[in-house]
Amino acid sequence: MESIITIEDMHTEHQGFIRRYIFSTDHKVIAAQYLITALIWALVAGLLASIFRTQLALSQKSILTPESYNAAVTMHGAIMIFWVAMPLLIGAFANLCIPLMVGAKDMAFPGLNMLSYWVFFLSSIILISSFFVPSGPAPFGWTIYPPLSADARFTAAKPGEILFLFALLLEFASMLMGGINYITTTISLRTRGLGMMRLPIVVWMQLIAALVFLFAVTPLVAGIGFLLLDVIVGTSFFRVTAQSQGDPLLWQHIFWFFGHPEVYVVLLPGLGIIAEVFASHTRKPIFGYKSIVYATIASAVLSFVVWGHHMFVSGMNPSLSYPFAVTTIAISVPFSVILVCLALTLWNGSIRFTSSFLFALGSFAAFIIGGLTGLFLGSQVLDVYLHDTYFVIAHFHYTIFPSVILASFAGIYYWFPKLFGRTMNEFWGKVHFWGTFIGFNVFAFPLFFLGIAGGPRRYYDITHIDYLRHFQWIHILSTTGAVLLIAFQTPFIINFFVSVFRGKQAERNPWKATTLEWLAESPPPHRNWNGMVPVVVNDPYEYSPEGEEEEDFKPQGILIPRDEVLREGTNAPTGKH
Amino acid sequence: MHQLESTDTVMESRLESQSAIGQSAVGIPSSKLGMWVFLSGEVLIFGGLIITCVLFRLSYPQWHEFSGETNALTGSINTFVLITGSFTIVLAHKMVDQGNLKSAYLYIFLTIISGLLFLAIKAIEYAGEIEHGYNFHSGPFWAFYYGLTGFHAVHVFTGTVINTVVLILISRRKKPGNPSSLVENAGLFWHFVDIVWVFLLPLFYLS
Amino acid sequence: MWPKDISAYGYWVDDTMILVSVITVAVAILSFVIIVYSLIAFRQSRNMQATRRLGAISKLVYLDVVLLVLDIVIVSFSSIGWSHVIQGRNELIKEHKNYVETRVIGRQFFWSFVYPGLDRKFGTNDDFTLGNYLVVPVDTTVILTLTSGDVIHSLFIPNLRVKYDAVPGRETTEWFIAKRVGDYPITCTQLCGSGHFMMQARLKVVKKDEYERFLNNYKVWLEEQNSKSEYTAYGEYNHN
Repeated sequence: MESIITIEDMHTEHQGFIRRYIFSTDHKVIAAQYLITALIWALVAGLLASIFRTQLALSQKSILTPESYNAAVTMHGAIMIFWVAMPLLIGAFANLCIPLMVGAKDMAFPGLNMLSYWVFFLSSIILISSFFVPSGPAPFGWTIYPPLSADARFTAAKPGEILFLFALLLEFASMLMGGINYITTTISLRTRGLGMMRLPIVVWMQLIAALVFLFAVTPLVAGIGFLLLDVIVGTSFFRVTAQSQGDPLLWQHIFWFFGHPEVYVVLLPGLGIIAEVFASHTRKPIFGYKSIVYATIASAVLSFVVWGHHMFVSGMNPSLSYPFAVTTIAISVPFSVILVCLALTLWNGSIRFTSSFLFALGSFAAFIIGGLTGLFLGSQVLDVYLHDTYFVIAHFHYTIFPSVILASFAGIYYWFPKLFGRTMNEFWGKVHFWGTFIGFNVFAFPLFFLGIAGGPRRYYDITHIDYLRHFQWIHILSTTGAVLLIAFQTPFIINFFVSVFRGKQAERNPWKATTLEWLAESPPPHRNWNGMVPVVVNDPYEYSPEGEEEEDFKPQGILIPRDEVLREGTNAPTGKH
Repeated sequence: MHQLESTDTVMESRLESQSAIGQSAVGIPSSKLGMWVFLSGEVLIFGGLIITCVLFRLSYPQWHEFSGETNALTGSINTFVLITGSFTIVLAHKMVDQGNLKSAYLYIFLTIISGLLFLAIKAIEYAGEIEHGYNFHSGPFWAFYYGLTGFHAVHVFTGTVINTVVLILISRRKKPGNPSSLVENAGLFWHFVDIVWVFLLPLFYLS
Repeated sequence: MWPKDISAYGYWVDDTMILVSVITVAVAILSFVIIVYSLIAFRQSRNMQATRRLGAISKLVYLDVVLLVLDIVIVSFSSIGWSHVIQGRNELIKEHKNYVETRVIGRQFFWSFVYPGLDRKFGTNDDFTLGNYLVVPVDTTVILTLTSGDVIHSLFIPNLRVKYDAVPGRETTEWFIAKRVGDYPITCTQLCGSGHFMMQARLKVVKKDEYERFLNNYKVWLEEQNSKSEYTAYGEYNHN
């Protein structure tokens, strides 16, 4: 029986270059757009870091002034979270994976999807422009605490700040638009046989991350609105003047109510990628699928009630530290469930060490260190000492970097064949991994000790401070690692672009993986399935099933011609819900 | 060959479009689900604004004096205007479902008028208050008042634009794929705008 | 690396630090041993066929119960420590009858320390202000009432294990009892602008009778200090 290919499937044959690759509504093109834009921003933010880290290492010689140093660290942080982490882990991977993995032809709202990328692009332009105004970009930390950020008396960078805040609002709008797509597509467009408990882990993670982001960022939109009024109109929501007393702490509450769930938003997709790569590279199902799903939901919910741990010594009522410390420490329990399940996936497996796997493994290992050091900061009495020191910086680099950078690389090496139809070079992938992983650890690990020594963060120069002077060697060591880290991105950049254009043709399923996206061609055509319908018949990780001879895995779904599916009637997924 | 029956038509349309207007795996059409996701985000934006306002109010005893300056009658009229618009758009949806498009056009038109009327009344109100000397700098009550009602007014304006676009789309010769869904979702947004106002009313007019 | 503890209750911070360090290092070592073992024992060249049955090691999931218990221990310890380290001014005054108070005003980019003078009352004629120089008596409860003149700052005294934000528009409290005489550093730990890294101040812990002499005639006392030690006061401001 021939499969019926509809007019829509044939659409792209007649589209010009612009409609096909630039203003495209195809989720795969949009994924590639987010990917490239985010990687460019990562390079920019990484170079910013190299510059200010060099300043720190060289201390007495000035590459940056103290003002531009503050602007550099602010922009590094803001760019990494909003213009790298979110578009990379979510914009790129949600767009690439979700429609294919749920068996859909595209996202639920493809036009909205395209709009979301271009709004993101616009936000990038506005952010870049903030670098070129005379007063320079925002210099008050990515946390934007008022009154430093709200009162023109204390900060000279007003135009740069306003541009930054508007760029931020646009970025939020773009990600929210994307989120509407991710949530609706995952819930609504699942193909036949795909109950919720058969979804690949990476889809669960993207769904939960999108929901957390939706509920976390929206109050911050309100807060930024108030901050803009303070800056532009001169109101006193957060400023303190002789005439009217705003509340600087209110901003902190609003910001961290968002800020804490946000770090889980940029963590969960990374964990999802690790799970996918672990399963296919150990030839075993993910251990504890249901536990991981429930634990993730529990962590996501809990993440909304821990924000006070950023404010232990801020002036917030000290009695509030008790419930916040309890919830903060408590959240380590569901997270450790997830990590233990991932670790047990390795046990009794048959592990293939590809670049993708190495990155997933490195991400997993580094994240364990990051998560454990969170226990120090969540214990409120320790936080009195460690708050705003380099210990905090080391902690969050050990949690964010593994997820945003290492796991993303794992995902890029893993799905590159599917997205681009070509293969990346394995040798250079491994070189990239070792340089990145070693460079990262040399950069980040020493910073814990600078924090323990009492070294405050956001300090232009510590040799100025007598009790810190003899720890300058930590800065020098850390900068060496950072420079190494940046330098080793070169093999990746070359590998990536050479492979896109001249890489070896990829097979349909190079990793012999089970999930639905590997049923499609590499790369999938417009509307993904060539007129066929993927129908799910198995659980998502049927690797090494008992009794199977030829292949050591059972694909999750099969492709069926459309009219056969129609003949069988019922339109609800029959898989386990 | 197999004859397509009604369930197949549903399946066919779902497979065919697998997009916003098709049926979905959970019984709620994707477009409606998408609208609900969007609205829940909006609830939290306004929620953040309103809670901040309430927190300030709790620590400022002078709040009461200022809210006497806003006109409770005007606020109530505006409330009535918005609610009427919500009512008419529900009727419009019902008319579309019944196939009575002429009545639907009228009802949507009435909702658009209600939006414009609300904005006109608000503009006159603002003008009066500014003339009295109350602006953003007149203290926290006024800063919140202009900020929140202004943000809300932007949403009333956006909603009115959306309703106008919907009216144009469903009155053209070539009808959109699912006019009922279009009107319903526009109505959902309008109801949201309405409900937010119901919260703003006591906050700024009735204390 | 860890600064010397000269505080009466600093052991709460230090002991919690040891507790958490031991637990985290133990968990980290356990995790890495299992992972490294897995990578070696179950690599493809050694284990061609994966096995879905895990055996006893699947019980490792119950590790989470152990972690929960450890978490409860950590949080309890930390909470008790917190109740000592962070207290409000009213509680402190009730509990410590003989206390010494200094007002602190953070500014861009220096600290103002306001002393109440011998009468121990603020707002009287014998009040005086020093820039970047905090003098306190040893073995005495010291209460610092913090505020800011512009943006948020944070007063950090590593050797005393105290830190608290100085917020404009409100007063916050730090307190300590210093057990050793000497000179110790104070830094600012909340980004406050381009001079944030320059806000180093000096804490000088002196014997009680010296403190009386200081309050009595701080100018003479400062001159003596300037001639004696390498650490000098960075300036003084006339109150009123």
